Amino acid sequence: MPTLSRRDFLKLAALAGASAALTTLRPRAGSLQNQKPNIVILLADTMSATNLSLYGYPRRTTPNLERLAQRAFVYHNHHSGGNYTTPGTATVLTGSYPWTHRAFNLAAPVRRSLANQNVFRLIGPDYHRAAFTQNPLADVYLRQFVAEIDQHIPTSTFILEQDFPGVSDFITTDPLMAPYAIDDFLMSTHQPGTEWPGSLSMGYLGLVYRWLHRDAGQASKEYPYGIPSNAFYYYENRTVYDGVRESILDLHRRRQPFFAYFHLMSPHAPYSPTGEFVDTLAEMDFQTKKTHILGNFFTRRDMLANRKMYDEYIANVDAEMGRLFDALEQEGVLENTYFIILSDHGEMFERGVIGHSTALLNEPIINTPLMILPPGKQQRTDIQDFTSNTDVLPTILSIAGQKIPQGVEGRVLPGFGGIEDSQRPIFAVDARESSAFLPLTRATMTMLKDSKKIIYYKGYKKLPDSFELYDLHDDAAEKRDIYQQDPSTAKHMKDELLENLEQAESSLRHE
Amino acid sequence: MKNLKSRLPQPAEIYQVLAVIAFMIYAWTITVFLYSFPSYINFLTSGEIMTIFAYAMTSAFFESLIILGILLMVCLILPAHAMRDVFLTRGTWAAIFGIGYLMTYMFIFSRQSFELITQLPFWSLLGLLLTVGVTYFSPRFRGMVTAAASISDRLLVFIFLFAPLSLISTIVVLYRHIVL
Repeated sequence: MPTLSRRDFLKLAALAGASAALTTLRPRAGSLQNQKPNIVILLADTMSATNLSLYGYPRRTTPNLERLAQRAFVYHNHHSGGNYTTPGTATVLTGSYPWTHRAFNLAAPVRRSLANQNVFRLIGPDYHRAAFTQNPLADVYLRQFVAEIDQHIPTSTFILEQDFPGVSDFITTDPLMAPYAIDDFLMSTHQPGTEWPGSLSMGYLGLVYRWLHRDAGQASKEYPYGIPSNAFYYYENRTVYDGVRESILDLHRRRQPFFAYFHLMSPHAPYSPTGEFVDTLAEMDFQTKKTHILGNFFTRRDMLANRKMYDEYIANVDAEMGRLFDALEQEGVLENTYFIILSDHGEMFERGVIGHSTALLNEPIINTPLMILPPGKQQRTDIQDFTSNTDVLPTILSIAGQKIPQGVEGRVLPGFGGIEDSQRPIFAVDARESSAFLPLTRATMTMLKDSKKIIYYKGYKKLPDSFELYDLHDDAAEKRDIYQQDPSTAKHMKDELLENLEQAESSLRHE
Repeated sequence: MKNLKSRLPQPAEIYQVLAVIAFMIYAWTITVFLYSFPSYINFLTSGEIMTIFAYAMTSAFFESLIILGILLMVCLILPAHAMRDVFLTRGTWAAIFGIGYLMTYMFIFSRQSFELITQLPFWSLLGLLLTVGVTYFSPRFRGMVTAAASISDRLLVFIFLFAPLSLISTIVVLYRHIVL
């Protein structure tokens, strides 16, 4: 019988140990292969694609997104469904246009008959579903869909200081109506110029609270333009992104696949970059565009000054995103997680408009970024065709292996099974002054197709029913309205837009 | 307990003062609700609008009771001749001026600039002094005494409207929080 030396014994013991370890790891590796991928939406509120160097903007605002793009699908002509948070977010979450989901009045919920068509329900309970938004307007949907969300993180999480005491974060019962009644109606004093508070005492206590915190949020060396705020509380982007990172890591530690929706306030106004981003971008003289009759008549000087602050804030947000992804990569989260970076709408500094409180639907306000980082992708893929935020829901369902319901108006994005189709029309709608239950009476609608863009202004006193037509291939800045010069294209585009509007509104009659 | 009760005004006077308070509080809440109504009908269903109204009425009900409670507390603290014996007059004028001042401030604040909030202590103190002053001097003027009695007597009828409305509203709110 051969003798076993001490060295041989140690080798055998080590091999046995390694073998045992591999045996325990093997099923785990197998389950990871079979497990559905995690999906994370990172929505930066009010981020216009036209101000990102990722898409060719002359100021270097997004070096980190450019770095991440090297292993991502980058959509160059992506568009939001609306021009502010309510319609824009509802479009992402339901995969339908505002004229279908009918959430276009400030803080309006999604059409009740369509409430089941939301990403949290459709992705199914196989996924652990987590959702967080800093924007109270977007939180309306998280509260409306709360039954399908396993982890609804309150808006007041990751904050620096409460600016105004809302109760919606503390009251979890009656999630949709209690905040409308208490925060919006009874205590409505969070900003001057808004409606009166329905309750005198609650309104007065709210003012006292604001007076006690009157020094919060003021400009400092660290925040030369003031601390970021959403009118309800102050926050620091670093803290928020750290919070998002920790939340994702917590979700990643679970043995269940997860779907997480993070809707972050920045770069929404007030533009509040930290000091290190102020005065760092190149000074540029952007072209002036004629003030639109529905514009707000801001001066060129104001528009340029605000654009500069906005660009600086984007650079700040970009740095935080870069930091977040570096940390997640180190922790191995990217290995089995799809990251979708997008926005609900853009921002505008032209035609007399600053911001997005406008009836206009020009490119800066609806051309939003979309970048998807699939696990293991090593090279950049650029998609040039028109895509829409309605496409995000079907794409997520496709990644998750779920069926896409018939009512969804979006398509699976190119790169994820969808095909590039230049003949496909996409739409955006602003109808904040119309009723959600009746055909649109005052609204702006746009349709983009095959490099052409038609804009329809309906029911405005200053601008009775009229159309504008642009060729974005030759005139990306939308400076030459060719509605009169190209009557055949104008007629074709107008008919198709009106036909789609009619089709969307016909469903109202059946309810 | 008996001693405590003896320090409170007659129930009839309490109801009359409650009527004045409730009228002003409910009037404000209903006015604000009607102001918001055109916006609500754009995006909320009739059931959802009724729910907000139920919250509004519940809030107004408790707000009225709290203000009445403060006045009754003053009765318990001050000597009988200072408040209890003239509760109808002083309670009525305190409610009219206190709540009226708050209404005015809220109205102006909502319409004017945010700068007003930095002056909140000044305007609050001014309102308090005005209310206390008018309340203090009111029993000395026959006109104010009769006016208080007359106003509160006429507003008493609103209690019969507000009470059932508040009861139903409170049940609706409780139902939504406990059962739904």
